[in-house]
Amino acid sequence: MIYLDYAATSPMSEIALDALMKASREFYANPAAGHKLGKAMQAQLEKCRQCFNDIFSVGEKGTVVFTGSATEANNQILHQFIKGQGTIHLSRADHPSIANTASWFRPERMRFYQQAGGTFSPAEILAEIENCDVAVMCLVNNTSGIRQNVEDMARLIKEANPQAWVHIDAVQGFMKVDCDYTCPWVDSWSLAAHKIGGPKGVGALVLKNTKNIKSFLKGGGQEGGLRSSTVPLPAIYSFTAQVEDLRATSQALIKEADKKSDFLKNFLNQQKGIEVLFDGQNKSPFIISILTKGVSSDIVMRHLGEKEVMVSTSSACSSRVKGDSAVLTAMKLDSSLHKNLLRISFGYQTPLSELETFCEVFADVWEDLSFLL
Amino acid sequence: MYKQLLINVDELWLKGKNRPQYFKALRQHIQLQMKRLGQKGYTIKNRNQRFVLNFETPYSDHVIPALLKVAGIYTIVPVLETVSEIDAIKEAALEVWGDMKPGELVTFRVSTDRADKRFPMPSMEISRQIGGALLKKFDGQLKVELRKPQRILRVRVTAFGTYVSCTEYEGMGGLPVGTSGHIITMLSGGFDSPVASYLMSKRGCRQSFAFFHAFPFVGDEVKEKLLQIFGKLAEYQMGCELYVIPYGEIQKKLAKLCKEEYRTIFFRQYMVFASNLLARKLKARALCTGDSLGQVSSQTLGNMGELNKYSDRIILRPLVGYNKREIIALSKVAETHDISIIPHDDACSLFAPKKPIIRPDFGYWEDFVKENPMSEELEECVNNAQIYYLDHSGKVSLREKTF
Repeated sequence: MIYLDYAATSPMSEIALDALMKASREFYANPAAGHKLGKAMQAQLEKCRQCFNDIFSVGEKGTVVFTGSATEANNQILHQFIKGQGTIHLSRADHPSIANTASWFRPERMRFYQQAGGTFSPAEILAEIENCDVAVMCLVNNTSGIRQNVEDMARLIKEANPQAWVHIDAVQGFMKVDCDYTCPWVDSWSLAAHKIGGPKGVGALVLKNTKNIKSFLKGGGQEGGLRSSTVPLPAIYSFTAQVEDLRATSQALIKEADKKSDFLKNFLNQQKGIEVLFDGQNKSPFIISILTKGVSSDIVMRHLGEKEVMVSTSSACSSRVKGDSAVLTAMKLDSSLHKNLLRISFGYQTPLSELETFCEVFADVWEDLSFLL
Repeated sequence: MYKQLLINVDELWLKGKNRPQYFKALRQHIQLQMKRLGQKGYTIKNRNQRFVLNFETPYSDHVIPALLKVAGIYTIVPVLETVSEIDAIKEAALEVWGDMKPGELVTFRVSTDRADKRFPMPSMEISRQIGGALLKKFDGQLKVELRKPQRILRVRVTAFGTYVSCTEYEGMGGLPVGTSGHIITMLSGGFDSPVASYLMSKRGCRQSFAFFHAFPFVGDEVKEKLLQIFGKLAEYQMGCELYVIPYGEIQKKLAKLCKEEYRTIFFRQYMVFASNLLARKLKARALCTGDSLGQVSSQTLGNMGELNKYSDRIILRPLVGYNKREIIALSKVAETHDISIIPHDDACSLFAPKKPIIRPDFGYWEDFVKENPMSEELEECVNNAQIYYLDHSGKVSLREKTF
């Protein structure tokens, strides 16, 4: 089987798997427990936290909260602003864990910014920024793969309104694109372990500043009172092991990914009726979105699936069932093309040979379906 | 409060010598419905060409809706049984009538059927006496109205006793399922074919369903919808099967081989071939479709006739004379409406020719069919069908093929 849906979730790396097994066997005690073993677990947990503190230069005023997912982290940040009066700046082109929180707020507080062609316009985000409570941006968009210039944008926001909270969802970009994670203008970041080869069910909320941040859950007051729940130390340990490894290797892996991405784009550009989207922009090499013109991409996806190749579509609807995608609308992609978007995403571990096989299978399927054009 | 039901049978007067068989089928279906509901502690007796169900304790609210899905039942009447003596009948009538709210005014009539002529009193006199007892109890609240009363109290005097009732439910009517033979119903996710199936259940057909699944051109969401429709249609059957026939490959081959404007009609043609093949394997005697004359290009007189020509079995088209609006109204009766209305992908529209053929060249049709019998492919797709079985309790399970 050829798995090319890493942007949805990735298989675990050997390093993360080994760490998870080891920690599940040995680090089973509750870090909140008062006994000796509990104290040892707490120390282990703090070692994990230190890894993230280092990457993000988290100082005295901040902390890293381990959450169950990046969705939870995004929700926790946005939830802090429910009672405010200021504006909420976010984009419908981004992940539902951001876009769908809009239902919490009064419509007049919402400032949805577009991402025409996949990129946001700084002017649009900055409109009415003086009254902004929180602005949310994605480092890498999960559909387009575009790497947004969030560092500069954060600075522009803070210069215009130092009170505005700047939150970056780094799920698709962390360890996959170069980024200045120490950027002093960003207040918080969200991460997910499972997108980079770590275990599912663990994420992180990096807080440069904990002031006013409250726990999303009522309970035992774990994680410095910021996230009640028994701490899943084995998962956190595994997540950390993976991040430690990528700190050393990701530069080289990204370079390799660039080459793989070029190889794929080269092949796809030669296929009649296939358009590689967002090409030439600053992008994560791991995500390639294409248009399968004239054939609904879900048909292509299922045909590839029959040949054991897994890719994904932006929407599950094809010929009859219409439904525009809010994400693609916000990217100003013509609605007649929404059902033609196919996403191919690979990971660090994907060998070039698999991508070559993918190309062969794809060419066969696309040729086979050409009668529909 | 009722512990007895009287079940009157539809169209039985037609069926002289076949009567025992019809009663057997109907009794079996009623018993299956009771089993499905988990209803225990009852007997079912044939009394003068009608069934009497006696329950030890008042029957559950689900019993009547379940019986409304049994073909062949004319009416279902909750009754109170009593000895055939006038005082006892009066007492039963008062109990059946129930309480009245203060100030409530109702027009009524008593209607008596004296099947047992040994009863000493003529029916008019029985009605008068029972009516008198009611008028006396609810002084000033009741008024006799013979032509269009709000309520009718019925008294049936039979050799087995007297049955008193004041409500009745109209059943599905028609013929008990299984007594008209076994057919293959070609099912899609739309409005028509489920209604066609309902009508054929009403006419006593045992059915096996064939769904032609265009995977991977459409997703499995369509199959999920079909399973829902199948579940509903199975409520009118005594356990039945759905054959999900993988048809995407055949559609692709046809689309590549034939002239574009013939795609839709040839998709149907080869579905008819496959259905005949399935019918042969299952020993079914006919096919059934939801065709309505002229509704779409494949349902013109010419195209229907041509499809018949290449079918070994009669193709039943119970909706041929129905308008779309009538079909949709019937889908509400059959309770398939709310499932049919869910949007779904369908490969026919995906492959739809820009201009489907209305007056086909029958010569081309014949040559195409001769040159491309696709026997192996058809055999393969029928043999590879996924078979879902729905038993009387509504439980779905996958089955191995028996052929």
